[in-house]
Amino acid sequence: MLTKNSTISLILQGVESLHPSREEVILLLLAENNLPDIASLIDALNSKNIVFFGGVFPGIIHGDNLLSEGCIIKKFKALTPPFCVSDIADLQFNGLYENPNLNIIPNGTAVILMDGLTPNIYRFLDGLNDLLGAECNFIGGGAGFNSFVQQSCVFYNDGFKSDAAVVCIIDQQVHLGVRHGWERLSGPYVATETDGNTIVQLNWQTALDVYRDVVEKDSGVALDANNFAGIAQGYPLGILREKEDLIVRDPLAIDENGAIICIGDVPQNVPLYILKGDANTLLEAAGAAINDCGKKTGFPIVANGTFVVDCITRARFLDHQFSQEIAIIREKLLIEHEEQEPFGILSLGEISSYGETLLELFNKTIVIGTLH
Amino acid sequence: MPEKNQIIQDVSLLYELSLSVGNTLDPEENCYNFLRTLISRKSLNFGAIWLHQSPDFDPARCNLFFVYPRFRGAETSISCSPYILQELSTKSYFSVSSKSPHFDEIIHEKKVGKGAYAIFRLGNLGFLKLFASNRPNGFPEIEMAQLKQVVDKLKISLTGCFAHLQLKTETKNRIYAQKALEESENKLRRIIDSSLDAVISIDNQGNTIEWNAQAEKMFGYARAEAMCKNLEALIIPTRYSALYQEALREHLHVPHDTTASNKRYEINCIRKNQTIFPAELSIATDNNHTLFVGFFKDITEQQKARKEIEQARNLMETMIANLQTGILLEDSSGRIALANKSFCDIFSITFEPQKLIGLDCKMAAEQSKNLFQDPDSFIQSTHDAIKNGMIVENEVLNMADGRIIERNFIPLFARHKFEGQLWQYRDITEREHNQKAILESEEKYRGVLENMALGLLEVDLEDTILRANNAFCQMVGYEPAELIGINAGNQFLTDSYKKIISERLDERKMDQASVYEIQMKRKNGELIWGLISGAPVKNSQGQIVGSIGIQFDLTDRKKLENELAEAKMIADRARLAERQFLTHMSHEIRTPINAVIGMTHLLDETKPNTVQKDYLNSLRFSADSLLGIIDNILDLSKIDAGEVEFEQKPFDLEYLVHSLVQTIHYRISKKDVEISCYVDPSIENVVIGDPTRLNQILTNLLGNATKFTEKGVISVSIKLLEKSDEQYLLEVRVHDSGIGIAADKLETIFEYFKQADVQINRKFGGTGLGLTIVKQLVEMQGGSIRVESELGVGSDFIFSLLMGNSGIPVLNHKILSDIDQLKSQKIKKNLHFLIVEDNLMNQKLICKTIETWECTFEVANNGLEALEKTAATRFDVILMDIHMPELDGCETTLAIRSNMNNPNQNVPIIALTAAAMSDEKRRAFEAGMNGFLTKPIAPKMLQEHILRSIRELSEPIETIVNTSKKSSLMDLGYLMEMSNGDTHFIGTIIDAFLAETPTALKNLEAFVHQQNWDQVYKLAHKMKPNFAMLGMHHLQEMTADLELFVKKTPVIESESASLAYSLISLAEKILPLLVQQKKQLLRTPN
Repeated sequence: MLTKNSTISLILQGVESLHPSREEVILLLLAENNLPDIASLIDALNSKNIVFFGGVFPGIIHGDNLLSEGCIIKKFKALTPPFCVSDIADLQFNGLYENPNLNIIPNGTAVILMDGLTPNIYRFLDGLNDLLGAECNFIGGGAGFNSFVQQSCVFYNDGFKSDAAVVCIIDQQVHLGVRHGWERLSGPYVATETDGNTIVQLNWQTALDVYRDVVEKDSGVALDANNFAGIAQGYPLGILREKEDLIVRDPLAIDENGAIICIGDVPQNVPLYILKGDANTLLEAAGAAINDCGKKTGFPIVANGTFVVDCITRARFLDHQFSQEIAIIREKLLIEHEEQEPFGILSLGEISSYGETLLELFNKTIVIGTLH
Repeated sequence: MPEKNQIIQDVSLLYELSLSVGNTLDPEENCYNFLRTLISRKSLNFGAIWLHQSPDFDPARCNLFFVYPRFRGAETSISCSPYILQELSTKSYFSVSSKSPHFDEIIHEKKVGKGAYAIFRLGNLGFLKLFASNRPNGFPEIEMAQLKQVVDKLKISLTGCFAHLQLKTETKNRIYAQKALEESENKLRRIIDSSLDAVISIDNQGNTIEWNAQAEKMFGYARAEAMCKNLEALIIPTRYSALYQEALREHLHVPHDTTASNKRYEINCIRKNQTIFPAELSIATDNNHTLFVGFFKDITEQQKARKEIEQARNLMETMIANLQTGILLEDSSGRIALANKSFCDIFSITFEPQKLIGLDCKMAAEQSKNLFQDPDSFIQSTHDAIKNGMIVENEVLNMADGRIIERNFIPLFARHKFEGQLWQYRDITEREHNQKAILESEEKYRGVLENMALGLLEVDLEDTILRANNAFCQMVGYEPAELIGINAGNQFLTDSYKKIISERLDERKMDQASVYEIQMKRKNGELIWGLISGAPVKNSQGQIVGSIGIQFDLTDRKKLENELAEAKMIADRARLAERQFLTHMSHEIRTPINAVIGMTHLLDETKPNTVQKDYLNSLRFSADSLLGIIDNILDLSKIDAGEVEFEQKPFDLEYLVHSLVQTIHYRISKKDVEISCYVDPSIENVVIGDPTRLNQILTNLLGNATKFTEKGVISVSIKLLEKSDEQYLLEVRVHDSGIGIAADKLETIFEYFKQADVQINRKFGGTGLGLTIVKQLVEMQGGSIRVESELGVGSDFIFSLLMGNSGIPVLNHKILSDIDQLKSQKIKKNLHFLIVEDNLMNQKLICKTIETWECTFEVANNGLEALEKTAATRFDVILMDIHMPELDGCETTLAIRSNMNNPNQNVPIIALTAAAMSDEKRRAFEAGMNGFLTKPIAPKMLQEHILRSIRELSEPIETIVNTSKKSSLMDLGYLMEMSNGDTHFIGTIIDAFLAETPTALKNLEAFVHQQNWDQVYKLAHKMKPNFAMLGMHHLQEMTADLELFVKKTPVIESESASLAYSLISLAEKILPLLVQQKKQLLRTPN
């Protein structure tokens, strides 16, 4: 269900129209424009005894629409109540392993919404994988705002948070498709010095110098601080993974020392590539992703719903062609009623896993999860 | 180029992997960093590190140390020479794919599907397992060889981590041990310092090597001052040196160990300030370097205490000697150690108690045994007490001389050692006698309390139960033990009664007793009622210590009361229903009978022939009888309900009797019966009572007399029995010479529905209710009735009656004569009537009656119509039905009377109703009606009432016509006579009267309306002479009557108001006539 505006009364009305029981959880995906006072929204929902979790995103996807205002309301049967992991920036390597609140591990899909700009996300994801990897599949993305300024962006019954993640395990099986469509342009380089999400050096040289050489050569445009974000969105970085797609990192900005600031952590000494793509490769990737979802079921995919987590910078890069990405997905789905329409978010980092390999944070990637 | 890139990629990856090792000394974190990087980059599924327990590689056993991700961990231990360890005992690494038969043997993790394991030996530490689902054919050799390099690095790093960990653990343990030692030393020092003894050690040279805080305090030397000094020189006064030396020598010569050889010496020591004090010294040997460790205790206080004990002992001995209780202290050897004078007195020992000391107790007992009633028993119990060694208290011994002695035996032990025994003897003869008496009395009292049927509860001042007898316990359903000690109010009372009990307790505290009823709660929750008689309880000093309550269970009585109340309520309801039924019936029956009777009267007017007349008479008779029956039933019902109200109004008794007799006379005119009446002439005043009821009684009795008398006489005689200024006691006798009543029927004649003979009923008819009503009416007025009769001779009904004496002579009571006058009068022609009546038949009847009087009328069907008509037209008389829809008669009358603009405000209104209840009548008068007639209405009666109401209208005209005849309305004769015919003077008087009277009348009306009877009296009194002067005798009399009425207590309001309104109405009519009179007078020359 979609409310075109995010007023508390509309959202409340929408939630109540779904008549959620205490065993059901409401997922609220809000686009960042004209937000309601989230604290009041939480109070209003709590006063109705609604169990809920959600986040604020630069945009939301509903059907074939990309919206910068409004709220998607979804109801699921929950296997656990939503829980929150706070202070992710301070998590230690075994920080989440002993979580007494999660002693029952159910067989479902963990929906993860986290602050996309918080550092140390891999530690959180490792902990989550340690806890739930045996029994759950994972899908989710980073919440936040177009401004890329960190602020409270995820919420659940107990509050509106930053530097945190809210997770809820829903009683749905998910078929995943994860692709990005970026191709290697140059590399590998060793990120000889990094600091969280900042690459200070590549191959013992100033990161920007190495990156600029490659990008300027390929694009023919001189990189500076002003045009960096615009140019760089066509030249992401890829962390090496043998036999699998690279893990894309989004160069977002540069600092005065020529360090490249990315969305998502870049481990020190990691080999990485400078990537390049175009609308075609990206749209092909979207097609491949939805094909991956349908491998088990065949086509058209008959799902209870289709959750699309698409990177904000990917959407920016695709610009007006973004609607094609959605169309490609819809083509493969059986849509007989509104609930079967794809719904989703423009995210600051994407997450997906069957629990086979590590739970990684991707950038500039499309994650599709058909729910069954 | 791709190969080159691949090589670079491989190198970069190895570079990253090798740098991911050794970033931390924590082995787990080290493993995590390495495995995370490895698994992520190589797209593996998990990795695990297994370690041997011992530092040498053990092919038989390994434990899981770390697995990443953790959820993969399943088994945690490998043992019994498994494949994996066997392989590693000869290889440094190997890979096994799911295609290998050994694959399953090496799975120790969760969610392992197809793929391959890579196993690397970690030197002697253990091994590393990696799993990749994307390497179905196993890890290639080249990859294994590359990885081996970084795994070796991991091995070295982990060895370092564990070495570091071990070092850390050892260091930690050492630090712990050191800390523990320091702690132990500190603890010892704290103990020594906190010791109450001064602890001093000296070496073999006699110099101090330890000097604790207490030593500093005790001797006044600081530790630094005292250390390494010769102890003897420092703290032993010279004159005690020898003693100290001796103690030291003794100590050194005795073989001892460090703990057991402590010996105490009392020596004197000297402080830094040269004061000497006694001290106790214990010496212990410490080790070879220490001569001794000395513990000095300042015993100044101890010595002081010892002295005090000595004094106390002396005091105690003196006290024992003088005690009233006989004391005998026996030492452990059975000899007397102490005895006092009382002991000697009890046993009649004549010499001093001291002389007993040292004697053998057994022998003494043997010698004195004959002093006891049962010597053997005394010896036996003494022997038993000593043998058992237990305290024996309050043993009672009977002496041969009759005394009673109480004995206590107390064996004495000091530190578990038997020291002897104490015997106490007390003469309790008197106390025992008293106690016995008290016990007997108490027993008696208890017996009474326990066996009495009334409950007894004793509480203290806080309402805590001290005692409850059996009856009370049964009453509330508790066992006695359950009640003692609990709060009575909380236990038994509901909240609403707690306040009452608290008030009662307050009363008790003020030494007041009281009796009250209270509701209590039984143990099973049932509520009971108790009647409680409570009184304060005092102790022997007369202080109030609580209260005692005797409780009577009222529950059954209360229940009965409630049942009675309920029954009464039901009966009252039934009676009310009966009354309502009767009222209704009365109304419903009277209305048609009214029509029947009325129509017979109308038919009478149509000149019927003889046969028709007979029929009419029969019809009228039947209707009258029916009416009589209804009246009787109604009366009885009223009497039963106690609703009969007796009026207290003045009337002429003789006139009443005469009128009645006249009526009867008419009725028996065809019989050969003479009727007479006699009223005692000494009843000279108007009596006060209820003429209607008296009339009813006499009518009944005379009715019976006429019914049963065919020949002879009937008489009524009233005799005055007693007379006072206020009252007449009368005897009324109704005699007849009728058939008489048989003697055996006389007793039942007054009962309901009883007639003397059933035959009589057949012959004479009647309901048999008449005499019952008569009897009740007589008795309700305080009288009694009896009958004297003889069968065939006749009957006498005699009743007594108390009547008020008005003090007004009968002869002056003109109104009564006016009634006579009225009877002969007829209604004046052309009067204009308003008939307010909703019943068509009644309308017809009344209309016809009025037509026969040649008067005019208008009809209003209800109260609202009546208000419209009265607003538009002035009527001479209004006949008003009471029961009407919308606005009833009383409401309509009130509306007319209270409206100044209504031209009929003061017009006579006569109530016509089928309901004969007295409350109805009262309501009608209160609303302002002037008369009250019960349907069916006989034209004669209606005529009388109308005339009475409007007689003021008809007479003035006659007065004018015939001025020469003296009129009761106005007579100027007196003024003429007085003024000697001075018409001018008379005119002036009349003017003054005309100026004054309208205001006076208005005021009178207002006072009446306000029921301000004092003012009404004053005004009437003022107006009376004016009326007299102008010869307005009727008004003068009415004013006098009004004075009389309003003076009575209580004021008869309805009558007074009615009279006052009539007076005002008449006066207003006369005023214009007076103006005419004046004009005539002034025209007439003197």
